[in-house]
Amino acid sequence: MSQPTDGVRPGPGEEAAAEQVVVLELDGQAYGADIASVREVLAFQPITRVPQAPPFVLGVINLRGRIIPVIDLRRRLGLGAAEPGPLSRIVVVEDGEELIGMLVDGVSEVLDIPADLVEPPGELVRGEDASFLRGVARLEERLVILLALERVLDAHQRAAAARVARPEG
Amino acid sequence: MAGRGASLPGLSEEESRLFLQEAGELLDTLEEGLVALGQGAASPDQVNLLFRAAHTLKGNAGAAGLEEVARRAHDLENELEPLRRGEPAPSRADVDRMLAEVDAMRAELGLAPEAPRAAEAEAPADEEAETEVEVRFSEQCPFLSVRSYQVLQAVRDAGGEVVASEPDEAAIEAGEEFQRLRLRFRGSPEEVLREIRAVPDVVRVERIGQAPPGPARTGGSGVASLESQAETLRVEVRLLDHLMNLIGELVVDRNRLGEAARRLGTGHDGVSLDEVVEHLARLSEELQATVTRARMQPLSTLFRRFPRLMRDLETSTGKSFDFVMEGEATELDRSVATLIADPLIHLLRNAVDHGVEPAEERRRAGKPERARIELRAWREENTIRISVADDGAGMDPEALRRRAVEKGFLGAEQAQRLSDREAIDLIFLPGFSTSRQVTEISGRGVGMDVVRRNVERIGGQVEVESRPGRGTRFILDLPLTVAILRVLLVEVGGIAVAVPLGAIDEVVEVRPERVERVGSEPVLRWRDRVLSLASLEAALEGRWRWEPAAGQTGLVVHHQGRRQVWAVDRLLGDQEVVVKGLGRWLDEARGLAGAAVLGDGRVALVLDVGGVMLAARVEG
Repeated sequence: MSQPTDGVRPGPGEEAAAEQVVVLELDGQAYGADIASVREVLAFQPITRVPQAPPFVLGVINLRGRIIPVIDLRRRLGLGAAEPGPLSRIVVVEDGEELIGMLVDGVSEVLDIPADLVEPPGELVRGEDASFLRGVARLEERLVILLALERVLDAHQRAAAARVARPEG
Repeated sequence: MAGRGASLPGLSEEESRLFLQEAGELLDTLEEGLVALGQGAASPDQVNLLFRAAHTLKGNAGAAGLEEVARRAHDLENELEPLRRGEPAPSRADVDRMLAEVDAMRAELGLAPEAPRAAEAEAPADEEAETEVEVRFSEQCPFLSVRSYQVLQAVRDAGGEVVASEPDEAAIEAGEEFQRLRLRFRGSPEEVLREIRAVPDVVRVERIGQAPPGPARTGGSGVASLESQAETLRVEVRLLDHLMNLIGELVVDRNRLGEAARRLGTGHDGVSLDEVVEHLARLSEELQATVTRARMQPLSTLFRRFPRLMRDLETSTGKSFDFVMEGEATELDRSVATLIADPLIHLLRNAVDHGVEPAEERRRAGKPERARIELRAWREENTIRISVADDGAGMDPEALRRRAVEKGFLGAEQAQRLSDREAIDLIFLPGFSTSRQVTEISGRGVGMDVVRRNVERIGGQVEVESRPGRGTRFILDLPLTVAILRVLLVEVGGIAVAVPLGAIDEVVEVRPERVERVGSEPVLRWRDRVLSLASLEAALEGRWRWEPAAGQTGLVVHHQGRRQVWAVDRLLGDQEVVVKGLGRWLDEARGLAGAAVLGDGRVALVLDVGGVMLAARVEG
C-alpha cells in the first residue's frame, strides 16, 4: 500500500465528491466497505473449520479453486457471534494479493456517499474498536459506519478485537 | 557514484544498463574464481577465466570513464598475471584482499551483492564463445522471412556476429519461409537473446549449446558453477509456473471426473467412462512429468554463492573450517529450489555459529583444528536429499530439555519423559531456537520452525541427527516437484483432512479393548512396537487425548523415525491434491501444511505430520 514517493495525496475534501460503498448489515447496523476493495459477494456456504485458528477466523472456503480464509466480521468488530441465516453473505475483499471472505448478516445495497456527510467516528459507535472505523456517514434515512478495511484485514491488529471489551479512545 | 538504474556520466541509459549488467557478471565470475583460488581448487582454465574477467572489466570501465574501477581491475589483473605463468596460488590474505577489491568495485558501481537466488544462472559473459540457438516463430506469423531477417539483424544490433544460420541468410533474403531458425553467433548471449526476444512473433528462443573456442574447456575440479553451463531452455519462468498451475487444476478436474464416472458406471454404447478417465489420468500424469522436467534446474544455481558466504562467515566468526559441496549437478524443480534457499542458508549459518567450536576446544577434544562443513545433494528415486553436516559440538539433549522448561514449553517432568531424539526435535518449535537473527544474506529472519515449515509445505521432511561432541547433520528430504501430493483423505470432526501417503505405514483398527495404558498415556501395540495413540481431532486442537468414543480407524504414521497412531472417524480414500497455502491469517495454525480443493469441491486441510506430532508432545 505504501507509495514510493511522498507525493501529494488528495485530502478528504479534494477527492471525488462522493465515494461508493457496499453496505453490509451487521447486528442491525449498516457498515460501508469501499467498493473498490470488494471483489464479489457469495451466498453463505459451508466453511471448513481450521483448528487453532484465531477466534474470529471461521475457516476456509474454495473459491473457484482458490483457498481463501473467511473471517466473522461480527466477531472481528467485537459485536458477538450469531448463527448464519438465509440472508448471510460472504463478501470477498482484496487484501493485497490475497483474497479474504468476510461473513456478514446481509448485503443490502451500493450507496454513493457524499464526502461532506462523512464525520469522524465518535461516541455514536458502540462496541466496535474505533481503529477499524474510518468515519460515519449521516444519510437522511440512516447512519452508515465506514470500515477502515485495511485495518480490519491487518492480521497484526488481531489483538484489537480482543481488547474491544475495554472501553478506550 | 552511479546507482542501479541511473545513467553513468557520458553514457545513455541503455548503455549504462548494459555496462552495469556485464560488469555485474564479470564481478560474479571474479568472485567465484577467487573463492576457488583460495581453496587451491582453481584449474589453469579458471585462472585464465579470472584473468580475462579482470581484463575485460578494466577495458569496459576505462571506456565508460570509471577510472577508479578500471584502476582496481587493473591491479587485480596484475596480481593474477603471475598465476597464469604457473606461480603458486596466493595466500589466504591475498585472496581476502582481492575479494575486498571486488566488493569495492561492486560498491563503486552501485551493484550491491545479490542474495543467493534460485533464478537461472547466466553463463559468464565470454565474448569469444559461440552460442547456438533455435528461434521459433508463432504459427500465425505472416512474415516469416521478414522476421527471420529481423532476428539476424537483432544479433548484430546487440553487438554480436552471426557465424552461421539455417536457413542461411541468402535463403532468408530470397523470401523462403521457415517455422524455425537455427543460428550460431558470437557475442554476449544475454544481450543477443534479449534483442532476439524483442522481435515480433518470436515465441521461443532455445539455447542449443555453447561451444567454447578452441580445445580449451573450462573444467576440472573446483567451483561447479564455472563449468556447469548446462544446456538451458530459455522459456519465461512465469510461463512454466502458470503451466504448472494449470496442470494442477487439471489433476483436480480429472479427480472430479473420476468421481462422476464412478457414480455413473459403464455407459450403454460399450465405451466405459472409466477408460476415458484412466486415459486422461495417464495423459495428465505425463503432462505433469514433462513440465516438471522443463522446470528442473541444477542445484548449482542455488549453491554457487555458498562458497563465498561460508568464506565470509569464516572471516567474520574467526572460526576455521573447510566447506565442501557435492552434487551441485543434481536437478530440482525451480520452485522447490526457491523455497529451500533461505532454509539452507540458515542451516549453513547455524553449522558455523552453533556447530563449529573454537579451535582451542576442538584441540582439547582431540579433533582436527579445522572443522568440516559439508553440503551434499543427491537423488534417491523420486526424492532429492540435501544434507548439511558439521563435525562440531553437536546438540546436547539435556540442555535442550532444560531450555524447553525455561522457556515454558514443557513442565520439568514432561521434559524428562522426552527421548533424546524428541528433545532434539524441540529446536523446530516456533520461538525455541535462540538465534532468530536476520541473516545478512537473505535479509529475513528464519528460525528452525520456518526451515521445517518451508520444507514440509512442499511435502518434504527435515531430519536431524546429532551427537554431542561429534556433530550435527540435517537432511532435507525433498520431492522432485511441489505441485502435487499423494494423500490419504480421512474425516475427523466433520473436516476432511489429507495425510501425505508417504507418512503412513498402515491403516489399523483401534479397538478400545486393545488399547493399553503406559502411565496415563494410551498406547497401541503395532507389530513389535508400542505406539502412542491419540485422536487426530484432539491432536489438531493441540490436545493429546484419546477416548474410547474416538473413531476406530487408526493411521500408523511416521516422521523422522518416530511413530504414532492417530484415530480418525473414517477413511475417504486416497487422492492426488494440489497443496495451497492457508494465507497469512492462518499461517500460525500448527500441524497444517496448507489446504487443497478436492474432486467434489470440498476443502481438505493438508496435515504437516511432524507439526502434529510436535504439537502433541509439547501439550503432553
